[in-house]
This record gives sequence, structure tokens and C-alpha cells, in this order.
Amino acid sequence: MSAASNATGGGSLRRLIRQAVVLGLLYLHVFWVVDPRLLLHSQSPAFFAGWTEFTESLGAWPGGLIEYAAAGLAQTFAFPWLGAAVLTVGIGLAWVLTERLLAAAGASRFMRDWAFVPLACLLVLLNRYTLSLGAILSLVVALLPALMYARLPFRQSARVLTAVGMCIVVYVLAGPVSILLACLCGMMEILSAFPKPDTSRIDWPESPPLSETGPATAPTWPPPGVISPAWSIAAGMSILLLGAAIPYLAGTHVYRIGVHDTWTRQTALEHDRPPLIASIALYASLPLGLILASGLPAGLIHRMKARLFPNAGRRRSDRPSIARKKSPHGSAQPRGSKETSPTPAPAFLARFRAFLASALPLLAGAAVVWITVEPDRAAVLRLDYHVRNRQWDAALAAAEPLRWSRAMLDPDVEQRLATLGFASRFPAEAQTPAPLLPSLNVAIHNVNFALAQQGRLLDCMFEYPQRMGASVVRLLPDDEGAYVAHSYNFDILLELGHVNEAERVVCESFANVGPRPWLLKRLTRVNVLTGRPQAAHVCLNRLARVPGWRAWAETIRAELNKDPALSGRPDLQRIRSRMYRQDHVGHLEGMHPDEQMLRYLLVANPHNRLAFDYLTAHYLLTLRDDKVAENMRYLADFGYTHVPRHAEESILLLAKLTRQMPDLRGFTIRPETIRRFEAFTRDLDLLGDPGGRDNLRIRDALMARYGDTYWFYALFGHTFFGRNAPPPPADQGRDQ
Amino acid sequence: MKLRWFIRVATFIIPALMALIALFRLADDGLGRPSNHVRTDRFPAISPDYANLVIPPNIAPLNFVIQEPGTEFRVFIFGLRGPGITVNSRRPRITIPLQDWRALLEANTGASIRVEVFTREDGRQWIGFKPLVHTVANEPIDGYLVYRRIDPVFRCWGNISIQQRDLTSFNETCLLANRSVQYDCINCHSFSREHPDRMALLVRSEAIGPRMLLSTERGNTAVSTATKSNPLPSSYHAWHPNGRVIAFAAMRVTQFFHAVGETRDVFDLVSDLGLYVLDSHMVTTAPAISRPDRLETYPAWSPDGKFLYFCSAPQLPIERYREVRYDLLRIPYDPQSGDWGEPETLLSADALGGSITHPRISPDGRFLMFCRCDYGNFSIYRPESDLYLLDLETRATHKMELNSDRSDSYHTWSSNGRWVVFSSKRRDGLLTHPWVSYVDKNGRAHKPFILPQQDPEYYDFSLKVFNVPELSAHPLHGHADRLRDAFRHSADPPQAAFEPTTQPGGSADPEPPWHAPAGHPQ
Repeated sequence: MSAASNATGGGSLRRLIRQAVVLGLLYLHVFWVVDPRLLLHSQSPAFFAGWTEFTESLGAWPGGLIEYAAAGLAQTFAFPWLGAAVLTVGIGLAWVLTERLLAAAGASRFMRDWAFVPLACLLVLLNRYTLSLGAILSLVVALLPALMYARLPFRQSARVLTAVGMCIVVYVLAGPVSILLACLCGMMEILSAFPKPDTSRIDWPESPPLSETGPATAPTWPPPGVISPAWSIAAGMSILLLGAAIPYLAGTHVYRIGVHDTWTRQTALEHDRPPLIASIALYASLPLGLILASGLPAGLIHRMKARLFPNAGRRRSDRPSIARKKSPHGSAQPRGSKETSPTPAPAFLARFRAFLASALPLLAGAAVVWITVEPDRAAVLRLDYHVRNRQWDAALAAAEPLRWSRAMLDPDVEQRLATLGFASRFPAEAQTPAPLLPSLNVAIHNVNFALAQQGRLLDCMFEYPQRMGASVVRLLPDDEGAYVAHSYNFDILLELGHVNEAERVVCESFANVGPRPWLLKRLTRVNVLTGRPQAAHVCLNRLARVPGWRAWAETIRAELNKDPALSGRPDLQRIRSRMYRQDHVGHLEGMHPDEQMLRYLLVANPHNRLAFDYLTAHYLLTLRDDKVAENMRYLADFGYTHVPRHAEESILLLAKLTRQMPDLRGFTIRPETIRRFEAFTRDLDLLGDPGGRDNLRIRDALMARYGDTYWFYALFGHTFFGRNAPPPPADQGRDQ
Repeated sequence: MKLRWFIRVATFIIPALMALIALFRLADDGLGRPSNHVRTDRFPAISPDYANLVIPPNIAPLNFVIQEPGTEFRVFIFGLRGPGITVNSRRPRITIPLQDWRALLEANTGASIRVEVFTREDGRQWIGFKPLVHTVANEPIDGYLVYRRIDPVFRCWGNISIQQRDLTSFNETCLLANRSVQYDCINCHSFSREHPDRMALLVRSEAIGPRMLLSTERGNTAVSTATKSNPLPSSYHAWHPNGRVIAFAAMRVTQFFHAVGETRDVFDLVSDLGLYVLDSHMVTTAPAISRPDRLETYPAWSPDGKFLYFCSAPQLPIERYREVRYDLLRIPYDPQSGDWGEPETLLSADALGGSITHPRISPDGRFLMFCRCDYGNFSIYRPESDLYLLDLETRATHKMELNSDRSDSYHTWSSNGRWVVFSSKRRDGLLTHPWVSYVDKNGRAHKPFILPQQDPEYYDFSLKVFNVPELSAHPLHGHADRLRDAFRHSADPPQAAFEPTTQPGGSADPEPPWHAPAGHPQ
């Protein structure tokens, strides 16, 4: 084996190792940090196996094929290791293809690392859970023909036709990402009109010697025997114009879709409103990479520098260049330089520089990705995931960061998590895998629901964030800005026994976000409870076509065939026992106020503990201490053996305000609660009037000790820390 | 010795038996009835229920699923005339070839056809069920059915589309999808039966407000029928037979919800009738159809255009929603002069014992079909809603034979008056589907059947609602682009002018008849 081939083999091996390292890190990031289950949970793309669904998806939207395939592949996200592998392959392909494309356009080894820019952008978007697998796959589908185009040896006219043809095919298969393809092809044509500048005198960051990285890929662009520059520019412009016209014409006249869908469907911009820098940078970085790869900007800078500082230029030209030394094996030198280094640097230095040049982009990209990780968003999403799957312990464990966080104090976090991510494009997002990003309000509801399911709502609710003025039972669409907020109300309403209201909620969510599996499951339950087993069958038939849900659907279908009421299912029987017996007409806008609804539910079933807990929680949140005290007479009916902690706190506050302890019908307030209340009132007296101008100082001083109490909530309208909060700041003693 | 004898016999008998089986197989060439089958004395269980129907001679094949055990299925369809159709399948889904079906129906129009179902398990003997007998009517159904396809709706919506289905095949054309009009709500599609190039529908747009999209041979516009006197949008359009006037209801609707039983309910806070005159681009009304103390809705023209039928109820506060019951009225109208006559109550809610909605007159003018429900006017949300027929000659009313124990509602007549398509939730109680029924000359309805689909399991998987079915003898293809164009250029829509009409007595109405009830600001 010759030395050259050895060197080539060594370079390839090194490249492979680097790629393996990057992909390995990518896999670990997706697996550990992003967690594909959360992606599937937030996007839940509707995928129904079957020929009809497949053919319908082809013609329904531009990019229908990729959308369908992506929805199918996204089902693997249910298994995190497999989902991470699928995402790694998709993102890795985009990265490798970008690198190849830049190489084909004649990029130097350093410039090929520009491929880390789109890679980082993809990961930043993934960190926010707004990137769909469809957007990743459509990017890959656009890059592949772009790479093929760079290697085409055709004449220009044929190339234009080829580019347009590829754009049409990509538009049909992958959607408006065809514009990117047109942009790349057009750019390649236009850039080929300009001669490559001599950039050998430019201070490129040092690349490893060619002998170590293998021979540079000979630029396949421009193709040999290129034609006149004017022709190239004309061809490039034609491709750009036609590439932009194709989505517009097809979108408005063939698919008949709106403007937004025409330009952004199946791209990272689709659900990203207002668009993040990352999603714009993702698509802008690719043609920009081609421009940089052409060496034109570098040449331009070099010329300007030479003109402005002629002497400096001369001195620099005299300097030796390590990277440009001639390969001992006679490999072609980049940029056509004929310079060789008269005094080559020591080998270890060259290797170190090569290592730095190779590792720096990777490290920079990793840093950007790591900085953009949003643990609070992930926590809210994870909590939501567990609550929807009725995993109460796991849900409260996931809520632990919220319990100790100062998220509610941080306006940035609050703003970021203020609304559901879905809110922006109702109802245009209908039936697309638009991400549902839960808000802080959702998190509050989820925590309360998990606590209520464990019978701890009235003992622990103020250990977690609560917000004054929020409904304890439901997220109001008006608050959240989207009707999809309804879907969060469903589980609570159904569990409370308000089945009709739950039906309305689930049907409205269904109309907005389409037949997502979790909605079909809920619709099935509602239809069984309302005595419509045939409608439940339709839902189950649909659900049986979703791979991950087939087993569940078939089990229920078999049970339903035997017993249309599914009376053997304890969860349904429990809800049945709580259902309304007598009709009540809801508010004109379709909702009973919480208190009225909960009272009606308690009339229907006086043993509905969930309704009792929620009613008492409602009184706590609305500072109705008198009503809390009134409710204590029913504690024994609901199996309570002691007064719940927050009720104790409310009663002590009421007693202090009215100077009279209410009748607790044999229940007593625990001594530790009394002692804590005495300490609280003492501290408060020392700190002064909390309603005064120095409210924040008093709040911060009380937060550490009493942030988990009803008293703190009653004073400041929200809660922050639990009982085991970190020690108060040093100046707190002075305050007290 | 015995063994040898046994072998000899066996070598004889076994080939003989095999030959016999082969002979039977050869005799059964896969066409027609299986040669050896046993009969059962019951009808086969099939889905949808296409058993013993009266069917139009031009209807698409009634594909179905056999709900009987088996590994092989055969269906033999034949009539007195023409060749029969045999469908063999290893799956219980039976898809009938379209051309053969058409030929069979054409040959047997006015007669009957039989559908014989055979099943067998793992090569055992075929089981033949009692034949299903369809009567092929002489009168064809109108070739096209236009409906709105939507998810089960409460207060909000996602994807809505107006679809046109060719009833003679399975072709479906989208006339307008709301994704091309910014996902706005589109509803109340209507077209002039005598002038199929004229169509109207209502779009409730967030951007431009409610507009009547109008597509006619003279152009496409998005008309704002809101006037100073009545800013409410126009719904329930009814084209006058002359094609130049559209009657509509202008109302303020509110939805409310029950805690037990059917969740949804609808209440009209305000409702009056009006006319939009296309030629003069004018909105007009008359006091008799827009009384301040009444809710008038569901306009429908008589085939000769001389009467406007409508429903009317006393205006009550929403708390008394159960007392709001609609009477059936009609009022003479002279399309030449625009003069109105005196209104006449055809059928009162008290007399019927329920609220009357959706009057539709048969094209021969003899029958008026309507819905009856306990109260209100939104019969599709009332499980007790049933279809009734009023004989306009004898004024006799009867509950139609096609009803079910679930909501049966919105209906449309075929242009020959022998077929009706109506909306029914009988299948599952949640989803509305179009059902077809033959109504004979005596007003007797025959067993209805669900709109056939190419995939016989379609309704088992579809969660879509089909509402506002409208039959049309002509295709409405041209309207798709025209309606979209009308919407695109609707930013500054032509504003209809308002002109109060004369009283029946001839004196001009000093006050505009539009009104707002106390407590309900417009």
C-alpha cells in the first residue's frame, strides 16, 4: 500500500471518527436532554396505517408523503432509544449532506465545518420541542438533490430544466422546502459565473496537512467546460425565480392552500411564530455556506485589505503559510497556491492546530446547543406527559423543579411559558403535528390534578406554584389564547363526573387538532359513558390503525362487543357514579362557573371527594375562608381523619380576622400548624404592613419560611418555595 | 391378505373420491351460486344495512361488509334481465364492479334485483342466506349531492369543506375548503335548482366579517347583506325559482349546553327573514316576516315561487328556551311586483305538539316535509327530532316511516320528488350521515339507506359529519374557483342597500322592520 493511500485511509478514518463522535454526542443529547417521548407527546402526529390514509396524505398537502412518513417514524419516539436513533439519523444526514454539498462547491476543509451551523440550528429548535421530524426529513430531501445537482455534468440549459424538475418533485414530496433547493441550485449557478479568487494569501485558520486528512475533494462545482458568466447568472436567476414560483402556483392553484402553508408547510418555520433566529438561520445558513465556500467574500475582504493597507498586505504575503505547503505526495493544493513553507512548524504544533481547527467548530456548536437547553420547558412538558398518562408519582417528581424554582418570579420564564405553543395559528394548525407546548398555567393545573388524584390537594397545593385569579378546575381558552387549552380540562372534568362538558371539550379539541390518538382515546371513553357504543367503536377502529395504540384499541373493542357499557371497568364505573342525575343548562358560553358546577356535582353524588377537594381548593384560591370553614363539617363524609393543612391555615386566618374559632365538628387544628401561624404573625408584625410600598422586601423575607403556606398566598397572590427551601439570604435576619 | 385387500380398495376409492371433488369444483366455476350450498332461513348480517330497499336506478354500487363468519365469501347479484354479477372475496368486504352494477340496474329498472350472500369456512360447504331483494325504482335520483363535511362541531371548528358527491359513482369533488379561505367557517351553501350556475354560501370571516359569497353567471361577489337596519349575517339561504331573489334568515344565534342528555343546544336570540334581490343588489323585508315579537326562520319557496314558507315562534328570554316552539307559516309573494300577501299559519306547534323546523316543499308542490322536535329550531341537536310530511292538498300530517330513535333532520328533495336525502344520527348518535329514501306518490317513505361509499367500511372509520345535504341534478364544478375568487376580492365587498317594502295593505312601513329585542344589543 502506498504512502498516499495510507494517508488517505488515515484521513478517512479520522473523518469517520469525528463523524462518529458528533453523531454519538447527538444521540446522547437527544436521548438524555430532549427525550423523544416528550417530542412525541408534544407533537403527537396523527399517523394511521393504511393504503387510504397513505394515498390521501399524498394529495392533501404539498409534502404529504414526507409528512406521512415522518408521522409514522415519529411513533418510534415512544421508545426513547429508538426515537433518539431515528432523530440522530435524520439530523446526522442533514449534517453530512451539508458537508458534502459544501465540499462539492469547493469549500476548504475549514469551510466545510460550516455544516455545524445548520446542525446547531436544528438542535436549538429541537431543544424547544418545536422541530418536527417532518421538517428534518424534508430538509434531507432537499439537500440530496442539491448535492446531485452539484455533480451534474450537463449543459446549462439542461441544468435549469433539471433544477426546476427537481424542485417540482421535492415540492410534491417534501413541500415548500423546494425553495431551499432552488436557492441552492440557483446560487451554485450564479457563483460559477465568478472566477475563484486567489485566497492563498488569506489567513485561513490552519487546516490539518493534506497528508493527514486525505486528499481534498476536488470541487465538482463548477462543472468542467463551463459557459459564459452571463449565461450562468441568467440560469441561476431563472432557477431562483422558478423555484419561488412553483410553491406559489402549486399552493394556490393545485393544493388550494393559504399563503402561510404555501411557503412554510413542513419546514422549521411552520410552527415557529414568531420565527426564532435558529429557524431562519437554519435555512439561510445553507446558501450562505455556498457563498462562503466560493471564496468570494474572503477574496473581497482580501482585496479590500490589500487596497487599504498595501504594506500590510505585502508583509503578510511574505509570511510562510503552514497550511498551504505542498503535499509530499503531490496532492493538489487548495486554492491553487504554489507556495511552500520554507520553515515548517514543528509537527506537534501542526497537529495541535489541526486538532483545534477540527474541534473548535464542534465545541462552539455544542456550546450553543447546551446554552439553549430549556430545563423549565422540559420540566413542564414532562409533568404534562406523566399527568396525561395518569402517572401521578412520576408527575409530581417531574414537578419538583417547579416546586423549588423561582420561575414565577422570572418575567422571562413566565413570558416564555405564558401561553400554549399551539396558540399562534388556530385553527390553521388543525390536523398537523403542531407542537403543543404547555404553559405554566397548564403546569399548575397538572400539579393540582396529580395532587388531587393522590388525595393531597388540600395538604400540598401551595407547595407548588399557584396563581390568584386562576380557575382551579379548568384552563380557560381565553386565558391561554387557544381552544386547545380545552383538552387540558378534559381529564379533570371527566374525573369529576361532568361528562357532557368533557364531551364538549374533547370534541372542540378534536375539531382543532385533528384525530390525535390521545383525543380518540378520550372520545371513546366519553361515548361509552354517554351510551353511544357505536360511536366509541368508530373511535376504536381509527385508533387500531395507530401502531402504538392497536393493542389497547383491540382490547377495548373486544370488551365493548361483550358489554357496551364497559361496566367491568372500575375507572368508568367511578365516573358513572359521579355523573349528573339532573339536567342543568350551562352558562351561555358553555361553562358553569367552577363553584356552581362543583356544587351541582356534589348534589349528584355527595361522596364525590374529588369535587369536594376541588371546591375547597377553589375557596382557598379565591380567599373564601368562611366557605372553607363551612366545608369542614363534611370532612368525615369524604374519609378525612384530620383537617388538611391548607384548610387549617385558612381557618386560623379566619379565626384571627374574626376573633372566633369556627366549629370544626370534632376536628382540631394540629399544634404544629398553630405554632407556625404564631411565628408567621410574629414575623409579619416585625416586618410591617405587607400592603405597603416595601412589599417585595417583606415577600422575599417571608418566602423561605412560609412560601408554601396559604397565608403567603393570601398575602401575595402566589406561592414559591416548599418547607425545605434553601436557607434565607444573609440579610434576612436583619429584616426580621 | 386383509391389508392387501384394503390397499387395493383404497387405491380405487381415494382417486375416485378426488375425481368426484374435482368434478364438483369444475362444476362450481366461481360464478353465480355455488353449486353445493345449504340454505339458511335468515338474512345475512351485512353492514351498512342494505337489505330489501327501494333504490334509484342510477345509484352507485351498494358495497357492504358481510358480518358472518367465513373465510370465503361470494355474492351473486342478479335480476330478471341482464347478466348477474358475482363477487368472490376472501375478505368479507364486498366491492361491486361499477359498470356491471350500472348495467344490471339499467336492465332491471322498475323491477327488482336479488342479492344472494354465501359464506364458507376453510373449504367446508357454502352456506347460502336468504336473498336480499331490492326494488329498482323507475325514477332516478338527482345525480349530485352537495354537503358540508366537518368534525363534530360544538363551538369551534377546524377543517370544513363543501363537497359534491356524484351519486352515480363514488367521485367526490371539493367545491370549497376553508383552508383556501383562511380557515373561516363556511356554511349554508345553497344553489338555485333551476339555475345551477347560481350558488351562495355564508362565510364567517375573522378578517372581513360575515359575507354571502355569491357565484352567478354574471360574476362572483362577496356581498355584505348587513344594513344599518340589521347588521346580522344572512343564513339559511333559499333561492327563489326565478333565480333572482334569495330569501334568508338574519339571526343572532347562541349555543348553550346541557349537563344531561344531548350536550348541545341552540337558541336564536333574534331572527327575522329578509330578501336579497340580485338585480338591484337590494336587501328588503316585510313586517309580516320580521315581526319584533316573533322569531322567523328557515325560509323555503314553493316551486312556483308564489309562496314563502317559514317557521315562526314567539320571542322569549333564553331561560324559557323549552317554551320556544315554532309554527309553520306561509305568505304569498309576487315576484314581479315584490308585493306580499297575508301570512297564513299552516300548522301550529300546539296542534302538532312540537316545534316545526326545516320546511321543504316537494317539487310537485304537493308535500311539505319538515322536522318536529320538542322545542327550538336546531333539530339536529334534538335526539327526538323526526321527519313529518304535510300533504298540502289535504293538510293532513303524518310522521314519516323513515324515522329512527335518534335525530333525523335536514332533508332535501330530488327534482322528480320521489327521493329524499336527509341527515340522521341513527348510526351512532354522534355523527350525522346522509340517508336516502324513496317517497312514493302517496307520501309513504320506504326504508332508508346510508349514502353508499366505495369503501364499505368507510363509516366504521370516519369521524366526519356530513351536514346540510342538498341534491342537485347538475354538477356545480365551476363554483369552486369562483367562490374562492369572490372571497379573495371581498376585502371591500359591495354593500347591499336596504329598502323597506310595503305593508300588505299598501301603506309604507314608517319604521324599518328590523329590530333588536330588549336586553339583546345588536
